[in-house]
Amino acid sequence: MSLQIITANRLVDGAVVYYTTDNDWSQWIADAVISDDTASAEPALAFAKADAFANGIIEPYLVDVYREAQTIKPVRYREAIRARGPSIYTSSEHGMPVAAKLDAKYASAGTATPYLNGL
Amino acid sequence: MYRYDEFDHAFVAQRVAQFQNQVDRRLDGELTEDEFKPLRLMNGLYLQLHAYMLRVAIPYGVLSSAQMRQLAHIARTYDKDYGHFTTRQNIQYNWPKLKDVPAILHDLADVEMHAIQTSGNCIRNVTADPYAGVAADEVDDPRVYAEILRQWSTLHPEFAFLPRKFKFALSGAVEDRAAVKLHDIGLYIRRNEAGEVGFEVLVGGGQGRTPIIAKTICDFLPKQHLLSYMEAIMRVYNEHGRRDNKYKARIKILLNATGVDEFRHQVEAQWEQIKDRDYDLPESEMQRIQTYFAPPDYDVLDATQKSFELQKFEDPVFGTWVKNNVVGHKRPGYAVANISLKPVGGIPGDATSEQMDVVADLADRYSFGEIRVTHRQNLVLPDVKLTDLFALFEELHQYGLSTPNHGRATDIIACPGLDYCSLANARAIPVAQRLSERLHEIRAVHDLRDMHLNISGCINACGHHHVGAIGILGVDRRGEEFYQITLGGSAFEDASIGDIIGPAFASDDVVEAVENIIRTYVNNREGEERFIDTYRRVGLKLFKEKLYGTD
Repeated sequence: MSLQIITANRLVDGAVVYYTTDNDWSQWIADAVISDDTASAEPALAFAKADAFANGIIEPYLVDVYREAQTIKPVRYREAIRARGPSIYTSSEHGMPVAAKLDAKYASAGTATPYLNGL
Repeated sequence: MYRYDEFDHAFVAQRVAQFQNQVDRRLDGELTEDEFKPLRLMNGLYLQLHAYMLRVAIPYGVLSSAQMRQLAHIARTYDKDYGHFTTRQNIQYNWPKLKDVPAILHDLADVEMHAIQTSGNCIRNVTADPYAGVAADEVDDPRVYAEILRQWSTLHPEFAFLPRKFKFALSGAVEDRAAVKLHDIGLYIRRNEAGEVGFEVLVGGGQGRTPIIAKTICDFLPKQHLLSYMEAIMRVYNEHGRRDNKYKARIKILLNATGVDEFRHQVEAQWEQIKDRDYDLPESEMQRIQTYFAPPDYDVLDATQKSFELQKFEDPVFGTWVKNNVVGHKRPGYAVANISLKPVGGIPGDATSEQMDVVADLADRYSFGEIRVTHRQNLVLPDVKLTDLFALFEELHQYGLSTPNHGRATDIIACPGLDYCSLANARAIPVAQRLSERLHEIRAVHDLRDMHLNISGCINACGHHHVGAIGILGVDRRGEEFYQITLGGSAFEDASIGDIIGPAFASDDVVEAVENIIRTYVNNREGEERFIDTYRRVGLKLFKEKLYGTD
């Protein structure tokens, strides 16, 4: 039985939020209130659901987590990606195409690009 | 291209006003999420992993430069400065705020666009050949019929609550560039022996968890009967399609359960009741719509342009781009220019606001202000003079839009996957990026043509993995991302569903596995043979042995 936290999406922008120790919602998973198991999380979830409507939160649910060092980590990678955001740069952040960088990498290493036919 | 009439304008404006009111009531707490969700979905607004997502319809993939500029404006003003072109020829915004969505819809309405019927169990955006009207191999222009179908299917009261979503695709050309056989209804424009135009009607194609190639139920439907026949098919589906199980609710399941002959019989029985009545468009109305798609004012040009031939010779980078990305046009002296949205290591289908503006400007200068979106997540300038191609190429190059990989191995389709999508089981974009980088490193881009790599992050198959020459499906295996590989799929006129090669690969191993498959192909192909042809000739076994060993 994993530790549990409560998550939802925020009404105004859909952002991922977590239910916190001071009965509020935070975008940071580190702020989440942690329950020992599903049973002990149920009252908090019920409270969060009631609170959700007033606070503009959509569909709260429980997430399995574990502690690692001083941090909380989701068990499922889906939830890890929700917690972190996309694992890729968005295209507007991405900058220049990678092809030039790759070509430069081989040029600076003084090695030939590994052509397909030479495999 | 088609322009809204007063009814279109009034109706779209009305919907924007309605949605503004619904959003206001939702934000005030008057509407619960349960009440609001169906309303937002009817306006194309989904809730994804990290944010809302707005899916905007691009009817049959045709955009004016003004529309493209407005899409850029929306990305810049309300989103994170980029948009994502999809395998349904649509565009998706990944980060709109709820309060901004009515304003976005208002901006879209200003350029005759909307997000209606981009979600839900209704007839979705009709897709078509991106080279419609300009293809050298075209029987007739599919945009005319796609527009007729768009008007017929928009808010059709009988088909607002179908058993499941419903997708149409049309092609009027010999080569199928619209994945017609993978749609609920696919239409090939044909000419009969008397020279009359009509349709081969295919039904029951689709991907998802039950991939099936559509079957022909009518070899030649005279064009004047298009709407009554479509209406008859929809009625049979609406009545008999399963509503008890969403996984068995698509028309492909009904068609398979009923059998082609019996299904055709049911459709024709329905059709008998409504054909030759007021369900079909009169010829005059068909001609009126046709005038919207009249050819632009082409110059009379020679098929060969010396300056263009010289430019290709003098600048081999340009020459490569022309060889890979430029295809023939029906008019002498013109060409169809494919703009790749697949830079090496980039995100397939993404375009920044700046890139969208650039493409809009280039369309104005070089292509009569028109742009097409392809189901392979690229853009097309359909009407470029051969003598303008070099200038076009140079400007595209400045903005990272000149990747010469149209139809090449790095022209990868990928769905948003688990980086954005709440349905996904695994990420698709990072796998596409790593594959793209590796294939660039081994220079596969120049060597491997018609090598379609398609990646989906779940079985719903938005990334068309079933019909990739090499298909990759992300799965969750005991809490880890794994990737199942299929070989031998095709979305073209020789459509086929790929075969699963064997056990899935861990994320770290999938690029090497694809490289292994490509190496097997290169070592076994005969002459200029395409991957799919080598695969069909030598079979799965050889690829499997090379990939997993003979034990």
